[in-house]
Amino acid sequence: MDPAIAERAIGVLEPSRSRLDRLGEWFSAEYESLLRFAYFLTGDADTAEDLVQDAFVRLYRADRRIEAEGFRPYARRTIVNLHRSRFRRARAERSAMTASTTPVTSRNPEPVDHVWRAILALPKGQRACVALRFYEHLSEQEIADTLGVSNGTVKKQMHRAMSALRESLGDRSES
Amino acid sequence: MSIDNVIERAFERHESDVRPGPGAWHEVQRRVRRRHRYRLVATALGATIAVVGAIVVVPKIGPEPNDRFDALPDGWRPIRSDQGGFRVGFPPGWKASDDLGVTVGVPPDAFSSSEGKPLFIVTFSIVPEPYDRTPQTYLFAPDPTTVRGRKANRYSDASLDDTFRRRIIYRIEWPRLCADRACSGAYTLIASIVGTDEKLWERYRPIAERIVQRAEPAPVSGSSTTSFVQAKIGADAISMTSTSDGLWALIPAPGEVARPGSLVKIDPRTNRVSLRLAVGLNPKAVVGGFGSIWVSHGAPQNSVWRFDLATNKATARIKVEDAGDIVAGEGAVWVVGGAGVSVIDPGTNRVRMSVAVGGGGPPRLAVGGGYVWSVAASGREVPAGGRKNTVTILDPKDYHVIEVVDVPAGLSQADITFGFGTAWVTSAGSETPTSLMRIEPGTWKVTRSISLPEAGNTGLDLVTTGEGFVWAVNGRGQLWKVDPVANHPVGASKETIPLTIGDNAPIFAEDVITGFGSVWVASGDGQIWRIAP
Repeated sequence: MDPAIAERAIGVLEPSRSRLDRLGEWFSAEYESLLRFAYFLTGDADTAEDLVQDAFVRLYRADRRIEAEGFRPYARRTIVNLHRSRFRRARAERSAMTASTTPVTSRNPEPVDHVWRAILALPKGQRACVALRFYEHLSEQEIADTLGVSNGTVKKQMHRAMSALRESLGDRSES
Repeated sequence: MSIDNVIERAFERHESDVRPGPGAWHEVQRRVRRRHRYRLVATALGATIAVVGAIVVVPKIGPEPNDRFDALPDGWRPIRSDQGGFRVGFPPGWKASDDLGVTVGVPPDAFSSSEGKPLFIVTFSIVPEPYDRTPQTYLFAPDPTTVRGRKANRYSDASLDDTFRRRIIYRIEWPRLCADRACSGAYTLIASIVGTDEKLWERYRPIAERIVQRAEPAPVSGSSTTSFVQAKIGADAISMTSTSDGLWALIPAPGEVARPGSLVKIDPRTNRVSLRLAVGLNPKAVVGGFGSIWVSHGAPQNSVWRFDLATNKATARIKVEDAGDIVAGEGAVWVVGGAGVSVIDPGTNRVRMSVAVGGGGPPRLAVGGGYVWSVAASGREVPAGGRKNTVTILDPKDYHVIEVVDVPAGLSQADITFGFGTAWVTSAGSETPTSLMRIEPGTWKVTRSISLPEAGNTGLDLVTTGEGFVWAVNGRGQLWKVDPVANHPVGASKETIPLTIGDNAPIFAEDVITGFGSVWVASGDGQIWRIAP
């Protein structure tokens, strides 16, 4: 076979170099921060890392959407959607949602303060809202866009989350 | 410091909990390469299948409709076929509330593939007319369903009947699709059958064509789980009760607990809100009884409010710490509060006494059979010295605990109701198969456990009785109708298909009650669904 043809054929099997370079730039700039966001979303460090790496694979081909939405919002939404679809696939559903709120891997530091413990104990949807609001500092509309739900749903989730947190924290938050 | 600041600081403190592992970028590149190659292979396979389909299927299904659809019964109009499948219009008069089934008759030899592979992929789609073939017009486009493998997608059910005639019924939950749309006959069902292997397809193509020809409507009769949605009422309720002239729904304030909630009355004749009353902060549950509506409030309100049904005015506010579930009957109003159950005397509007009950989580209550029943699932933590999942039975005459029954519940909440002479308890299901349990008064033990196999591991959260049946809702907002005599879920097939509540499943339903000839579900998506039993 002509070496040039063979080289081209092998080239087809490889991802585009320019895309990979750009992905590398995004990686350097945003990976750590997105990893933290995923950690707050999942409550599990290993899951978070896996999730963010998968999200970057999706971002590799998402030029137009990233141009339209901006890298960070699109990446955030991708992480949320991946997290949600994995959750559905695993059929973990409601009971597991409760069960998985406690970090289980050895890499997870033991939650020692009561605020953090209360945040980790929130159901996934509520925790996502809280993370987006208090860590990502998004508005209600931005949270709704990220999660792909209505404003009303965000309000309700936030309401429930804040009620649960107030109840868990009692008057400690006032101190 | 405000709670907002406290939470923000918590996130800041824990930012350093997680750091990128070594080789993270290398791992991302590896995944990108793997996915890239996978896409190449998938694209090549897809192109091959498309070419085979174009060559084999389209010419054989033919452009003239009448020569292919003679076997269709009256009322089903044949439509020009394309895309390697066939299209059938809904019969005239088909209503959005009707369920739709399609029976595809499959000859026995259609499954005798010695290669052990699926022979055909069957896909159903619903498109509005006029059909323009763009994917965006699809109302309903499920994943492909393999005929041989009996693999059903979430909108349909494929099963083989007892006579081994290999009849396949695809049920499409039409009310789900059309709940918010004015669905009419201007929609078309498309069924596509495509061979999965070129050689097999060549051999079995005549069979596939016969399958297509035999398609016929199969309206489902006697089904309960395909109950019809009569109405959806915009009310984000967390608790409901019914009185002689209306349904009452309790709605917490949207956004925050520091604002008063509301109590609305829904007219069952119009399915509209006819009255709205203000309640206190953090309302939890509502019940009707003794000529009044009773609303419990958690902290910081910590009280039960009584509304007179004649005047619709609040006539009493009774102090109960962190009040929760509430029921009325056996001469008193019973409300979860503090460390147990508080008994309110409706004559004096005072708390007679409090009774400690078992379990770790906030209990749910029921009244019936001359007793008060309380179920508590412990959740993840068992209280010191407490029992994990228990039903406590109280004697309403002297408020003593008669018996504590252990039930095999799981992680989350459980619910209890009384009807048909027995108490019905839902299991949360993570440790045991999801089931509905009966406890007969006097036996003080679980006398029957009714398995709902399709409930999965989501647990049953809510249960009520009425309209001749027991109704259970699981963690995905799916509703089961259970025959209390046969102790069996009622459905259209051996494997019961539950009705999914909510427009964006999975929705965690908040409450379910019966009344006015209907089942009412507060669906958790801001609506109350009224369903014909």
